[in-house]
Amino acid sequence: MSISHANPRPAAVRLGPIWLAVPAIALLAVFFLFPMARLFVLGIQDGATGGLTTEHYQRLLTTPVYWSILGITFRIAILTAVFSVLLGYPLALWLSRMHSSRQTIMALLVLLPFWTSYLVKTFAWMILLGNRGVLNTLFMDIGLLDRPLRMMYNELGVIIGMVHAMMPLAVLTMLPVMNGIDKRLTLAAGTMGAGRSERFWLVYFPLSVPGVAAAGLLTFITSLGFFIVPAFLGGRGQTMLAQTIITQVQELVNWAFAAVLASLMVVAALVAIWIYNRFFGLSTISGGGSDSTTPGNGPLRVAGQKILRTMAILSRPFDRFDTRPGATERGFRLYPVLMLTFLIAPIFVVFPIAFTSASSLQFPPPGYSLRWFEQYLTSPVWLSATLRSFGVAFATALFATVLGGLAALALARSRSRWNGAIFALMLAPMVVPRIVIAVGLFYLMAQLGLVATNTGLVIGHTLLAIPYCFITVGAVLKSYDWRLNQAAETLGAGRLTILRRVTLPLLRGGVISAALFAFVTSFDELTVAIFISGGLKTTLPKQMWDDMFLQLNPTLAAVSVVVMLLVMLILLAAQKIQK
Amino acid sequence: MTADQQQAKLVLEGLSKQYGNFTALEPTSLTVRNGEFLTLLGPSGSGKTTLLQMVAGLAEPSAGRLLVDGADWTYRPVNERGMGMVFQHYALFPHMTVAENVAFPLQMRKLSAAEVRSRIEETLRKVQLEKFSHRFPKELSGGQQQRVALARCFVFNPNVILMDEPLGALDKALREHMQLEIRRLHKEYATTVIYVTHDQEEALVMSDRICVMNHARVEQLGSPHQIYANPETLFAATFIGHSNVLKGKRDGSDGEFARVRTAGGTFCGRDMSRNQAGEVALVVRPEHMRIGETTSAEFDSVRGRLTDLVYVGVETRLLVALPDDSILTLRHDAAGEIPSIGQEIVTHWPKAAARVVA
Repeated sequence: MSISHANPRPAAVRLGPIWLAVPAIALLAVFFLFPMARLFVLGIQDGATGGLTTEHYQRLLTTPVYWSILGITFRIAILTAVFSVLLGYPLALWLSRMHSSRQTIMALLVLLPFWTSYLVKTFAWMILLGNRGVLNTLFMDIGLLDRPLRMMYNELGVIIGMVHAMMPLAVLTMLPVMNGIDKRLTLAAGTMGAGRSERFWLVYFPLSVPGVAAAGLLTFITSLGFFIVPAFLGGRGQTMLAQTIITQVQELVNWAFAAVLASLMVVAALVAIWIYNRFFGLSTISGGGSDSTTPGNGPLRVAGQKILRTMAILSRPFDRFDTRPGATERGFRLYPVLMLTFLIAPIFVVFPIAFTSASSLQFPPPGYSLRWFEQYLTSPVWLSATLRSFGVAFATALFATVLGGLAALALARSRSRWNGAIFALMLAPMVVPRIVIAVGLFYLMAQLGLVATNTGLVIGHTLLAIPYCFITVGAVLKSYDWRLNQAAETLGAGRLTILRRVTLPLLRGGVISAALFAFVTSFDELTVAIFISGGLKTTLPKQMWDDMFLQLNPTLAAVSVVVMLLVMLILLAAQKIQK
Repeated sequence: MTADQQQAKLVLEGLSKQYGNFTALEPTSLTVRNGEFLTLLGPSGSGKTTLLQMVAGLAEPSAGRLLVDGADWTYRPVNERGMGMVFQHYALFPHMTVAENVAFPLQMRKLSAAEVRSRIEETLRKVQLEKFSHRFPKELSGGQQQRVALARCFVFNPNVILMDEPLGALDKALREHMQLEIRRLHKEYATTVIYVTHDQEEALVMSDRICVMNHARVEQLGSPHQIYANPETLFAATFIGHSNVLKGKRDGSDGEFARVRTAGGTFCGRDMSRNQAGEVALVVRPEHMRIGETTSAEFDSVRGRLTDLVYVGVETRLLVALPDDSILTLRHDAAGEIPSIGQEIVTHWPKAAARVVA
């Protein structure tokens, strides 16, 4: 055969897989990055002339009350992070030692409070901690107290509420890291003569530190932008930064100063992330191993090892409690039961209140009735809010899953040098405090005329839900066997057919879970709703928020019960599908 | 029928693959005949899988052309090639039953439901899996999964089938059984097969022709007998079957026979080396070596010391160390008396059985 002239490769335009991420990138660029940049500029711009000014920052520096608010915010955020991680660690450890099938079931007990609305949780604590609340009534009835103990409208109340809100996040962040620790390592240490203390402090604990740090980081950043718990469980002295931002925007309409406070919050979060990234690498957060970072050998590491060795020596005397078989098992079981009770029991206090016959939050209820459910189901305000929440949540689930899922697919298939940046962008809405996103979005949407529209809400909720969908779909893609696509191709299937017949069916569990998580994220979302949902047409969380300010009533309990049951249902469905 | 008369199914013209600075396959030209069973044999990293993937369309060549039935298919999309492929770990769709897996290529070809059903039935019967059609892949043993992969490939009668180490995950007994099974299917369906393996025994058992590959290029192409009897390179001589190797320098040639000067003497062998100067090696298969002295001019002989006896069931092998520390392997013929370790031994072989390779 003598065909020797060159055969040019067909000049078809080939879009690399990286292009699948473009829709998500575009959405985040327009409604996340751009408003954040605008917000930052607002803080350094003169309102009248448009020139640069430091006037707004000077105001911050010269007003002591803002200093104290910053101080309180950091104090509460740090305390919350520390308690959440400290109390959550043994619980996560307990879960990580289970068989995976049992762990899936027990982890539901942590997932339930994790996905329960912050509003419901806070409302439950108000019922529990009030001066005539459940706990005080109980303690006085059994004679533990003669007069009510003040547990609310002070720092104690805020910390209890915040730790309760954040601990599930801490546990769920530490658990995958602990699951990834090779169990044989501690056994190996045992064969080399390490006792129980040494095994834990010198082998197991250092390996779990990336999880601990990730949990600390996430709880700290989330707490930084929190306002629901301090608004209801705190007093005047526990006003946090996010509440101040809301006041500046909604009551004082001082955009420039709100922008300054928001910028500060973002800087604080970025610093925390930077520190974390220096030591552990960000991939731990998304469930991957931190294999990219090698431990340094600086003085910090030496000091850390000294501390661990000291801890091992200090705890060694307790090793002998281990000698009787089963003894520690019992002790080790009591703690998780206590912690799980702390996480779950408060939420369930709304159930009896929802069925009360009284018109107060009196506990125990004097009698039982369905009147508050009737009230809820016949109230046009509550019903329209419920319907709106459902509609917005459905739309959010659809968009966030498609955009986040495509972005995850793009990164799984592409070796582009942009991967790192895209990865960071996809997770960014999860780590930037929501209040900042909401304020920035409000400013932009006011100009676009999207405030008080469903479109505005769906956009806001979609960008908040994208990180969850991205992570969930990304996780199933990790175990996906791409040779199946090659096999399908050799058997004659085109790209779309492969997606429809092979890839999607195999990723089905992950995709449906992603959609359910996006649904719950939107259904529970308050921060964006406060700004975007508008006055009359509200969403369910916004309506609850307004009602909780006006007057606490058993209707709220009835609504809480409905919301909780719905979330529980979705959670169980997701769990079943993921199997 | 001579090779020239046989129709060429696939022609590779200078096909090569480059990953950055790494060369996965040097420019390779090769003709695959219609209906033959061609094996690409080589160690890992020899370029055999790269070659297969470019034929399948799963990897794009850096240069060169691929002709199928005379038409240029170099850049034809995978799913339009209609070649069957059996993957190393089968790549069965885990969410589909055996029947659904086998039906997949037929559905892609838009066959009627009735047609699909009868083809599945027929094919599953041929691989003895008719009772398992409703099982999922994970409910099958490794050998059964392998048969599903074969059925999924043969069911649509592809005229070229590519197999990438399909038996790599099976144990030895099952592997030997499946080798015969694949040979049977190849005959039954009368297709062209390109088979990748690193197992020389497998290549010898199954192939019409073997393409020996090493260091990203083809070392030798020929029938199993040609390659075993007349290896052209040292690699081919040692990778397929066992060879005793005496390294040395070329010391003249009469065109058919060449002389090799080694540490243990100068020997003669049929000249197979393509490069004419410098370092060469004399290779002799163990079965051609006999113990004992000879004075015949037809033979060469060498003196060594017996260092070990290895019993492998069908025979006993003698390991003989030469003065330059190279080791020869000899078969002990059943008749003779087994010498004792440490004893000096003379071995001889016919010059016509020795090969000089580069």
